[in-house]
Amino acid sequence: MTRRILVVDDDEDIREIARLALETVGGWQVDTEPDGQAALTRAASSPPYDLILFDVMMPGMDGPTAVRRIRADGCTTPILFLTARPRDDLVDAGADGVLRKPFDPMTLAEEIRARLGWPA
Amino acid sequence: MTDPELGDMVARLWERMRPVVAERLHVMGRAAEPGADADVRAAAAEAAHKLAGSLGSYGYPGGSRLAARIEEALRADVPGQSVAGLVDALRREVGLG
Repeated sequence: MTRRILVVDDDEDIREIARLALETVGGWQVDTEPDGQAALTRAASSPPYDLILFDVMMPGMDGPTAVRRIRADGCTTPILFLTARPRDDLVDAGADGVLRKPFDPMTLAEEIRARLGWPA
Repeated sequence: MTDPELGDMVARLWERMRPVVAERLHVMGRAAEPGADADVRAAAAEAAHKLAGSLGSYGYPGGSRLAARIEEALRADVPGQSVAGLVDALRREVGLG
């Protein structure tokens, strides 16, 4: 079964290289959104995503705010923040972990598998 | 998927994204000019933050480190002349100098 990943980041260059890395190396299906507000609708879609990757700093609704809203709506999809500035409070927002930017496109999928315990 | 294949795809994506990077460097350069106001410096810090998060993924880890230094300098109100030197170094690092 192909996993479905939602990448939420206001930077087009990040969205595109994450898509490239996760589709070509991970073999997963990737959708993207440019902000937290748009991600709320996507996160509630059916079937649910297998993972949402969230940027932290975004105009409008930032990542932590969006994650709190998604969790308040009862969504249990794994969520990882992807950020250049990790902070202790990010997991408190309801995420399952934090990955660092810049990421290596060749190893991003493997990092995700390891973090979430997904088989190769 | 092999390293060279992904490398070629990343290189093609980098060519597509070069104008975005160039525009961010332009914004950062403006913030290094004498008399740059707080709004210009804030926009430049944001641009530097974005480059810090992305350049390494495109094969420029040194560019990410420089961009992070520029972001810190701008947020710390370091004088423009020092920032200008870092921005020039970043341009050279990513081949847009």
